Amino acid sequence: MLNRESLSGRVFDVGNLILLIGLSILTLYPVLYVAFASVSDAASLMAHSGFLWKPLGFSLDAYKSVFKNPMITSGYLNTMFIVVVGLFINILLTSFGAYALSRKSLFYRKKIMLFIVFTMFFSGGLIPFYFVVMNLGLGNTLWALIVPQAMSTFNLIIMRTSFEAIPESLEESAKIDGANDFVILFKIILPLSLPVIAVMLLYYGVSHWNAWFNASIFLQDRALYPLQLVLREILLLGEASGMAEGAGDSDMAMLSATIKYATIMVATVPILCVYPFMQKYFVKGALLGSIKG
Amino acid sequence: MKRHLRFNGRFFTLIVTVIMFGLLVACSNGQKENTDKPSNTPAASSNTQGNAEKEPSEPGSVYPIDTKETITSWEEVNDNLITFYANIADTPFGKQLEKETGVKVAYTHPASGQRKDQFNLMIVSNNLPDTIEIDWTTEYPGGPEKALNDKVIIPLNDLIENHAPNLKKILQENPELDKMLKTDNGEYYVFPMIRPDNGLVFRGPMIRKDWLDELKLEIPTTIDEWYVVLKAFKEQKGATAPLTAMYTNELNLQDAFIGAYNTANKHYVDDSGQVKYGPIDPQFKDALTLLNKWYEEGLFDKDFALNTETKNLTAKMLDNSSGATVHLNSGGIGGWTEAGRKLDPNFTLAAAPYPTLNKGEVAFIGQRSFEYNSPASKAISADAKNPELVAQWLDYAFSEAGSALFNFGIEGESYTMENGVPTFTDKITNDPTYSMNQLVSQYTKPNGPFLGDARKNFNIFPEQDDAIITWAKTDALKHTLPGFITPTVEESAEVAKILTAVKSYKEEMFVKFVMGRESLDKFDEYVSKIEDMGIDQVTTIYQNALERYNNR
Amino acid sequence: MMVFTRVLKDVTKNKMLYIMLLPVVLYYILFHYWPMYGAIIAFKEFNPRLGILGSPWAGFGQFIDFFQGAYFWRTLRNTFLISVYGLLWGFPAPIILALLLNEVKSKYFKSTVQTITYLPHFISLVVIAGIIKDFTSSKGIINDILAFFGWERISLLLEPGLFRTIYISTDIWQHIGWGTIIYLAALTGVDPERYEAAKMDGAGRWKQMVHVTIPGMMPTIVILLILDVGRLMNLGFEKIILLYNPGVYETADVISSYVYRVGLQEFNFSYSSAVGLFNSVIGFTLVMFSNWLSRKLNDTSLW
Repeated sequence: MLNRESLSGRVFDVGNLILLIGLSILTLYPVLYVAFASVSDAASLMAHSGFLWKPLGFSLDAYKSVFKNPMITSGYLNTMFIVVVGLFINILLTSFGAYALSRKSLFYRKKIMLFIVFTMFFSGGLIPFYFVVMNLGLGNTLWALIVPQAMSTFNLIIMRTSFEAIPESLEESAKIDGANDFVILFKIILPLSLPVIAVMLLYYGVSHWNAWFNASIFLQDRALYPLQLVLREILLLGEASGMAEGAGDSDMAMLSATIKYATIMVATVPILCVYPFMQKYFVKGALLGSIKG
Repeated sequence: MKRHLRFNGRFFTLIVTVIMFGLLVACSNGQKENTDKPSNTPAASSNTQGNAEKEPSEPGSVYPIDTKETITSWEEVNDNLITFYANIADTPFGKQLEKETGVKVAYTHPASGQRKDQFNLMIVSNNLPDTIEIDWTTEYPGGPEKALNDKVIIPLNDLIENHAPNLKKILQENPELDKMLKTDNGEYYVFPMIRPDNGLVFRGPMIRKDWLDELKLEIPTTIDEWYVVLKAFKEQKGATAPLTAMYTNELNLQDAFIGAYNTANKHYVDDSGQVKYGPIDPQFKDALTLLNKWYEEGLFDKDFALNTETKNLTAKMLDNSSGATVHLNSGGIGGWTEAGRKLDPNFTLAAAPYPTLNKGEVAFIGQRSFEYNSPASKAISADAKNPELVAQWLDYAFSEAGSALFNFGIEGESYTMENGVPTFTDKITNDPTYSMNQLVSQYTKPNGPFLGDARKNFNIFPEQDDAIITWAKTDALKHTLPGFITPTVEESAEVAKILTAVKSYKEEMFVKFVMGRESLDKFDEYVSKIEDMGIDQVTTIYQNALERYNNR
Repeated sequence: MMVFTRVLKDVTKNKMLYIMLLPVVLYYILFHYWPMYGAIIAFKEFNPRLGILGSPWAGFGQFIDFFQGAYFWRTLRNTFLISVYGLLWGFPAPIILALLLNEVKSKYFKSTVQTITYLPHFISLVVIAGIIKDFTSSKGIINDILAFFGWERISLLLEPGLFRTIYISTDIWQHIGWGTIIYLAALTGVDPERYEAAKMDGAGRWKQMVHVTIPGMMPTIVILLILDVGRLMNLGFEKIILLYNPGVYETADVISSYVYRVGLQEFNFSYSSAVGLFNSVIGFTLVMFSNWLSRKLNDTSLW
């Protein structure tokens, strides 16, 4: 009995290992592709199609041009501001909403939930949204990229689901001591929810990091552009927009071949590095285990 | 209690780190904002100036204009410029323009690629700058006439007559251009970008000249000669896709090969002045038969429908998969030769004439643009407080001195006069880090409303100069439907509705016919389906608009 | 009056909760409900100069144009099929990966695999599409493998029969790791004692997975499934237009890509709003239905 179990278990372990290694190789490729392309020789890269399994030649020229662009630095700073301030507001509001809506004692819980979910499907479109943001005086400020994104319904639902899964017994003693809901949220629920907070930080953080459209309509001052909008403009370089047709854009095409990939690297690597730091919050049963221990 | 503290501690650290970081960034960012502020305060400055100054006695002819007013302008900024400056006002070009015209301008620039969205929001928010640079022929729903009726922009007839002597003179000398710039009602609506004579033709067939020389073949001129050449490329040079082409919503051949059968892959004007929809011509079947034959024999790129980006084409041209295509003079002959020589010193691309069926014929159609480059033209908005001043400012670009600034930049800095010819300086042409286009964009305005100068030339290789001559030898001017015909608002909606469906179906069938997925026996069925979709209505609308255009 | 006293009673009882909800509700009113009047644009002939309220009414004209369009049924079918197959294959994929990762004993290996699989999510779609085109071209690596086994080389993206497969499998490839995160977070909430108890009962790894791990993830799975069903009609055009070509329109052209092409011809806010409204109504109906169903079958529901 025991032997059979461990044999099939071992076969499973080996199979699982091979499967996961295979998946890792497959999913590693896009990043390697961009990395290799970014340090390749521009002309060789242009002539290349198909699988790229090592850099074609080696050149850091693309990175040199990227870092010479003053917009990259200001873009980084603006994005950092948006991400950090935005995250703070996101986590605060989302946990308020998620906590309140996870309380069964709240009589209008379902009605409010429906009121919120409705907005996932129906919206007024770009134009009235633009007016609202402008009327609030947020135009041409970084707040236009933060306040309208203060919450995401999807994330609210995720967090609420996670709060609901916390055994009620854990807060009962606090309630008996007369603690109010704010105390329960900050002292009991949130400390127990580090994994879902980590998920929220990732979800919200990545969406702030990648957002560019609102910036493009609300910001006139280029010094306020976030990194992704700067990146987008560089990615569009040399794409014949009809305007450039017929103009002498030949050298641009060659330059931009590697610059585009270098820019992607510069704009993506920081956010890629976040996840490993978050991982320690995803250890199975860590929290409950340590509460009881 | 103790256990709570432990978690709170971890949670607390997380939050504190976030806040600290936030403050840090907020501070450094705050400083930045402050230092950058002065460069961009358009609304404020224009209000404070007021309307106090008096009109110059002889409007439009004396620069610099004596004024304290600030004009507001909304225009896209050149891609090459954004790596150096955030606003045109800060560039050497912007400063020089202000100095020469005497007019201060506050520019607003949409983000690259977003001009359409921002334009629409600007219109809806009823807050228009004095002048707006966009394609008024297509980007305002309903076209220029509608924009005038909606009082978004103002008719320019009086302004050009009284305040823009330079443009007026150009229009008087060039009636064809004059016609393009008017609506059917005879109203002018933009200050145009005017392309020079040698800037009208910039796309066409090109072929690997070094391969031809090696194979002892001439540049092909007829369909039969092309067949021989492509076959040789395939068999002797190992090209897997001897002839290739871009595919952006449709096959971008500029009607090369198709034109040999006296038709086009779009609406065109036939010899008797009738508008026709090429894809339902009987002779279009012959063109499809040819492409299908070349496809089956492996002479025409098997993956042509996947060449949706320039880089797909570039890779095929540079890795010797292909020996011929239809592409831009600059990015193609210029760009590929430049890149190709780094890999193979013999790499040479030369222009081939648009092919014909019989030797010595003139090609039926080919790429030929119009002198009026509508995407880079400026209209004056209905909200402009002093349209006369705006017109005077815009007219400067059509004067001799203004044209020199817009085309070549600042004399002594970006160019010098050598034997009466403006020539870019070493500073522009020989910079170790930046390309010519990047540098020129700081001193000139690559696209915008001005008179283009034929002497401005970025060609690197002699083949590029030859290409313009070779590709110009077509009857394109006669057969191309003018781009500035204006169907009425209702007609435009009708055209859009029918043509979207027709083009979708036509393209689907085009690809299938060429790939042999649909037999060409079904061509008649295909034609009658397109007729059922209402193509005749569109053709009639175009015909009427063309007649109105010709009568302008 | 009844309602009012009821509200008042609840507010007094849950004063703190309503204080917490205040900024949340305010946010939704301000940024979601206030702009919602813009939806009427779908019933108008929008003229930018006149604004949304000032534009003339067009009744159901935009909807009629859409429903009677030459490609309505084909694009509807393609949207539906890509979405449903996408859900069928794409939804379980990250769950399975999370379960597999959960079985890995080496912490180091586990976190490495997690980190790597989540990377492609961040690579821009344009680059991903370029890689897909490279792989599937007649000279690409997939054809190299097929040719090795004696198959004829074909451009996979030119085959109408393969479009859905390519679209969905590459979607899984790009987002599987990212999708796993939420399930891994859910697993952290499973009480280790329950594993111990299961072991005591003699449950092997398979049984532990079925009786402890999966139930632990269940609320998250159900909620995400309900939301995904609601999004069936929301298939975006970005990836479609990067991968399709007229040769495969018959399987690849979806509602959003068709509207995008219409937009290229004539910028038309009203038409695309009408289509958007149509999608919203279907999406909302689907989410109401699946929420109702879920409430019947188990305890978990959105509201």
